[in-house]
Amino acid sequence: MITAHVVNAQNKHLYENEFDEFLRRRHDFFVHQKGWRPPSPDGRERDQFDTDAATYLLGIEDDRVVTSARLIPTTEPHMVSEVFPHMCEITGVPRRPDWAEWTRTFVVPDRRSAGLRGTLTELCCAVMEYALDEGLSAVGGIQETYFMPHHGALKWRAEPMGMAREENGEWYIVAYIDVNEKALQSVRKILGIDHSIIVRRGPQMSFLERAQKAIEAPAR
Amino acid sequence: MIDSDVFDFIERCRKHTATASLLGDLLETVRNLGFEHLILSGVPLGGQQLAPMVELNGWPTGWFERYIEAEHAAVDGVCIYSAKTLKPFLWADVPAKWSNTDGSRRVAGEAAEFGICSGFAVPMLSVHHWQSVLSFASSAKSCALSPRQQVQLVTMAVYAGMSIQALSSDDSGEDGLLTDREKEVLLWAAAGKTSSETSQILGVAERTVKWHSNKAREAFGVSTTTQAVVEAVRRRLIHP
Repeated sequence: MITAHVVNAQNKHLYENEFDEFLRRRHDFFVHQKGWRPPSPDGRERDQFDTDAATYLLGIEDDRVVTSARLIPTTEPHMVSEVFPHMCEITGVPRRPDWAEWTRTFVVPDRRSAGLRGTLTELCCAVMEYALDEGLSAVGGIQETYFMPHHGALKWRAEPMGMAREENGEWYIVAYIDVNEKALQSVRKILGIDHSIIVRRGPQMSFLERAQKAIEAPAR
Repeated sequence: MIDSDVFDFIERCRKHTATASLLGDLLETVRNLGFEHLILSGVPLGGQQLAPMVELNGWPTGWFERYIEAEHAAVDGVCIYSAKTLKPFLWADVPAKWSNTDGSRRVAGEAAEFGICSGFAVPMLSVHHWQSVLSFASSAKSCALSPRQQVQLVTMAVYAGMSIQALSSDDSGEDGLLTDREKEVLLWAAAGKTSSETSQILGVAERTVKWHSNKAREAFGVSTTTQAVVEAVRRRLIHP
């Protein structure tokens, strides 16, 4: 079972090694396995959304970063607003402090499994727990349609913002998952746990307060 | 078909509490795109039985039985290709390597007699199988789907796939799939022991060992103990 460490601008200094490992695993996955991003000379994958507004959940097991999630307030520039706004034809691009965009999730190859009780589900559990703790009401964003049944298996409700669409040979959909106590209970039940798997070290940052800041910042 | 029909379907998807009503609704909705039949199933890999993997069976009467009995899944190009790609595809676009075999052409010929001539398939993640596929079938000689219609079909397929996972995974995980004894028998098989050797190790009759491995094979819908071992490892039920 992973423990998911909350890492953001406030406490990043406590996680230098883990964060570097996370960037290297991202490079393995998004550059070499997915081919979505060009190789980076330093072997670390970063993009324009790795800013101080982002909060990372690093899933650590046996002293390794085995899985991750990046959460960005939708009030900040995020992947859906900057790259895929055309995929929200029903609702428009959601911009709400209590809606977080969830991206940059991978699972290292030796921790992937077909069953439901695996590292991916543990990460999902961590995201739901964190989101509920922080008072969020939805998490999501651009996702591969292929993986959507996983949300169903967790009994999560995912609201589509538009139709699925093929981009660069892959099918995606923009959808946001409802955050609530029931969703956390159902994923915990599948994993057979009733305790927290989130770890917080050092100074913390309230996700909602940070998200609110983006709205209050003077127009540029 | 207009986009709002798709969103109405998604809305209804959540209200279905049984697979039969979801199947009926989906069949009714995709008729507007020219599809009369559909199947949602786990994709069988070499030798796996198809029947236990089927989650929505909207095939014409007689064809499903025929397909199972003749073990068409092993030679049908559409079925084989469904295990090899993650992307939605037209049946007509299955590479010749799999579609142009004698076996696959025979299946296509028989299917035509049941009014299944062309189709569109959407592979998806499955938490129980290698992956699953929702395959839509039409009696038209070829599927004339506009890009917009493909988008509509994939969107509905994804939500149907999500709903079926929500309906079918009521058991808490897969822990109940194998008994402790069945796991033990598979573990010894993984270690290279014959049933006779396993029976001596466990101090039970050989036929008891065989009975447990048979139960494990049935649980996965596979025909050999080797396959059952592979499945159990893949699903992390045993850790040899």
